[in-house]
Amino acid sequence: MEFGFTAEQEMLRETARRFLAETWPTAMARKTRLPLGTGHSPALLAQMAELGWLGLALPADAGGAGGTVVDLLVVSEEAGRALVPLTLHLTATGAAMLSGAPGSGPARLLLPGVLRGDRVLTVGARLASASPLDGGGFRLDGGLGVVPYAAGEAGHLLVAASTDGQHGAADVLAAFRCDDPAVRAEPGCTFAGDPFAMVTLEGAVAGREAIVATGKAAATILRRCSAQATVLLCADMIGGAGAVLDLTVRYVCERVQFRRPLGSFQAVQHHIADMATALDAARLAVHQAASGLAAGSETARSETAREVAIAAVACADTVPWLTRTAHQLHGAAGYVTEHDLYLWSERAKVIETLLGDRDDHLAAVAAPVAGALAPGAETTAVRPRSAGEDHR
Amino acid sequence: MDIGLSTAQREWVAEVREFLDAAFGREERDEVRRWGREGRHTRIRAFRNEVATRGWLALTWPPELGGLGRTTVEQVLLMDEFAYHGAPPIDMTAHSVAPTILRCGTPQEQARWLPGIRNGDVEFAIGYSEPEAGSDLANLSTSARLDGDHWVINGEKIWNTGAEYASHEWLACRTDPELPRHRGISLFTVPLDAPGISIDQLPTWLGPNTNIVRFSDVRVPADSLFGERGAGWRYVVTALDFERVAIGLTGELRRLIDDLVTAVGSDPPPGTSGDAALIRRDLAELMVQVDLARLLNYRAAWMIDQGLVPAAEASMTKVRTTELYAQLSDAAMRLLGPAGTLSVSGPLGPAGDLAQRMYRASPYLRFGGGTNEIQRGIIAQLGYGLPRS
Repeated sequence: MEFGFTAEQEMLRETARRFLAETWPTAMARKTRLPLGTGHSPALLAQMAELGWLGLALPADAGGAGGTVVDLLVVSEEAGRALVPLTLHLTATGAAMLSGAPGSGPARLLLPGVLRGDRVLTVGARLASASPLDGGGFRLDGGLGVVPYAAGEAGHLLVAASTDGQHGAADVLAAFRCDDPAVRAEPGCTFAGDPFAMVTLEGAVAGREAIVATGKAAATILRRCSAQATVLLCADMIGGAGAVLDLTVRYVCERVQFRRPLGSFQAVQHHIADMATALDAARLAVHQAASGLAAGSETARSETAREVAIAAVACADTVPWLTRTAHQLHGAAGYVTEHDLYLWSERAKVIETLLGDRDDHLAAVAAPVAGALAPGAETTAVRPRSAGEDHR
Repeated sequence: MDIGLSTAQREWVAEVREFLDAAFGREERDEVRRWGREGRHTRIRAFRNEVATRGWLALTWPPELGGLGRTTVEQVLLMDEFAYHGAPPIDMTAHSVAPTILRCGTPQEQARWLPGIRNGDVEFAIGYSEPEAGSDLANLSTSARLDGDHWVINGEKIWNTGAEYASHEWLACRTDPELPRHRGISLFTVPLDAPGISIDQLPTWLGPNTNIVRFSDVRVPADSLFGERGAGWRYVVTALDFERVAIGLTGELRRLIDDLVTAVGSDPPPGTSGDAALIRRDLAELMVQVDLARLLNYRAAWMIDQGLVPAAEASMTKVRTTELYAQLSDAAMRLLGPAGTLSVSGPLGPAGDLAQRMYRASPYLRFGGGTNEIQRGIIAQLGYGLPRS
């Protein structure tokens, strides 16, 4: 058991925090939100690529540094703290999928641009349904749900699909240009100013060059990358919550009421203590899941899947609550938009919904005891499956 | 004891609903969606005038003072319906300041202020908080000094919501700095167009602005002092009790539950489990909480009708309802999934908008009108005699 990071990871964190503090003050995050900006900064992405962040966990033969998800987690925590646009996360997730099939057409086409920081990827949340075409390739149809940046800055969209319909198991992974006419993206905007679209595929043709993987290979890539994406979104939330706790501690120590610092009141101290404890617990859960994924042990696979679900539930329960408690301790001073606090409150809520349904995560947590609780009960799929759901 | 609504009360609710169906239509909704319920644009202004014309800003006043002689419970039933329909709310002047004037003002003061409040011409912005007087409200330092037959006011008020459109300020000032803190405070009614007043708007997370209002040698006549000199703290506390009952309204919570049923009822939103049994259980848990909050709210209103002062009870409804805003908006956004975060007129219709609005409103409701921590102190100290530290 080892709770600490390596010296290299600590250095990475220090570099990331310093770089983002200089390059990406909250004023930049504000300007980048819709409707003032596009939700993305090409310049920032290019600089982060130059620092090697996009290749951190990619294998060396794909041009990466051969690190693990724990290295990426360090960057994600700092990205959440600094309110870095979600294009970093999405592109890194897409790249991880591509690197699972390094010889595929999309990997050869897209990975070099990702590593240079001039390609933005996004990933469909739900499975499409796939029909094989004569002469190879597939036709993909179906609603993908809410897909970040698909009607905006993302150039390519990675889609998982099943030849068994939208309720089946994933066996096709393909890449499409977002401006493909068969990718119908209804543009929308989250209340945090992110360009999220509702996407439907209508006869999207994935020729051989657009296929990342099929069969078991596709399912494996999807399972690993979905779990990794969930953990890194959790890390983003944890980083943001850390920034919010720091702001709040500073405020309650400075603010004087009743001739004492607010922070000297027991009611206030209890809030700070609850925030700190819940944040530490959630962060440890995220670290546990990340280290499980990094170890990549096939024998511990179901254990790791549970750890990912525990991290997701912990972050969903902790981080929006923590930002709300921070509002409570700031009072009106933190409620005017000239204060930065609401930026994290909104981001936390948006990311929480991207983690997937809490009930599904709870089902994954309870999986080992499910048989004992309902002997003989069969679970039936009643809805389109989430991409990567089978990692649980 | 009969905690259910009487026939007369049911008829009253039906009358209010009928009015809202007619007067709060599509155009009014659009304007509220664009500018917020607190806005003062054409249609909202017209709606508010219609409410005033019906005498509903003077609902609980005795008929001899121009009121309709209805109960506070009936007022709460009305405000609940307004909240349920997303209509512009009855403002603080009508639900907090006017009852304070009725309870604490002289006949001359009642004759001076009530007619204008009744017809909507007089609207007060509430001037209590200052940069150094938030939870510690008695620390306020805006000064009013008697100079001949005028008061001269200097200082700065913050979180002064509505000051950009209100006609007057309901202003707490320190008149006697040599007295103990709570006894040196007096209350003033100050026209907001008086020379020496400047207003700076501060945008808030929820959307509407709040304001900083600065008073620089503002001269007002001697009769701008409300009630007795040095009794300002009592008036502030009285008005706050009324305000907390209004914060404790549960109509919007009921509305969100109904909208959620519509939004998740047929087709599960993308990215959610759509497990009907689990959703039903989640909603049932929330319905229990909404009903408890509604009871605490109506109980406080009923106490006012009995001539009692709901001090601890006003704090209880305030705390319970505002905590539920947080809990319910979290649950709603969870049930709606990512599509529920899409802004105005997203694919999930009204439920998404309302869930977002309540997520943003919950922090403000929890600290506004006295933080919930301060309220818990009031409940323990005034309700159960626990010692003040």
